[in-house]
Amino acid sequence: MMPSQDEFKNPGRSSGRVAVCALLTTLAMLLSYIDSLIPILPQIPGIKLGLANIVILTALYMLKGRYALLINILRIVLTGLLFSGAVYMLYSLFGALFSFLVMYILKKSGLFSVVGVSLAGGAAHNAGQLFAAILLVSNVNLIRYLPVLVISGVITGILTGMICLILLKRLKPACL
Amino acid sequence: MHLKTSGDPVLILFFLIKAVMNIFHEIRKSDIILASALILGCIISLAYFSVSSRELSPASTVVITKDGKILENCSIHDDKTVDTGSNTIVIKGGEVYMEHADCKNQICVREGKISHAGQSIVCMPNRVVVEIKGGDEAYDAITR
Repeated sequence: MMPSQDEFKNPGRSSGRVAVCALLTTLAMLLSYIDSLIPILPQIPGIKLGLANIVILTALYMLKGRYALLINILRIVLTGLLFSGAVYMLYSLFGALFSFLVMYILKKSGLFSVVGVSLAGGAAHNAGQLFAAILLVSNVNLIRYLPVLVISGVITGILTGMICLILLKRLKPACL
Repeated sequence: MHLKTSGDPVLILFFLIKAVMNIFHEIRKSDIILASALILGCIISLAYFSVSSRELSPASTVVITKDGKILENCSIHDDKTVDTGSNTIVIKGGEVYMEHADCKNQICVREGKISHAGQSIVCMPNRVVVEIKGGDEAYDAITR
């Protein structure tokens, strides 16, 4: 990522951005660790609250899209190395990239509020993870899990989207 | 003044309700349409999947694969234990369960016993899939 000329002229602002990105990455890592500690439905694997998505969404709305993407990838690689292992890192990377793509497009379209973007992102995250699993396990029958995973993604996405809405209102005056 | 009022449960409830109402104001119609379309689609496909698996009805064979390769294909009524190297799968009395997995999360072990056609246990880290298939597949295998 090349810093723009504006950032060269204003080093204070770009270093501030580095600090904000680092802070948000740590926050996202912490939230995804807390996420793994809360089992919602232990019978069905892959259902999580998706708390880290709050941070990603906030970054997407408050900063530029590329910073949100950077924070997302950093979070997954770091939590993958620290807690969950390489195979799970691959699954969540698939899910996160797919959900980021969906959220970015929906945000750009301007049709939806934060809650709509968040619920689509949650559904896309679970669907992306399942497609990664189908590719890795090479068993198409896993697609049966798709409806359950998408519904859970929508529900948790609505919850995180509401939290994000409150957050964005409070953060606006502070301006990252 | 802020400290005094913050302890009042009625006021806290009032602010909470106000905050929630504020959120609902910001939700657009398109959000609701998107959510209900996704959930409706899922419910329809869920219903379709459950109907199509009921057609297969009686469970007959157990297929165990690793990395997409078939390791074991036997009747569900055989009582045996299959060791894939990373996982131990037990078939006993018409039920199948994952007894041991060397992975971290143990999701497949906690999934418990399965006994109906169309059900499966998946161990993601080791890429092991245990499936129960129904219908006449077992007879086909014998008569062939």
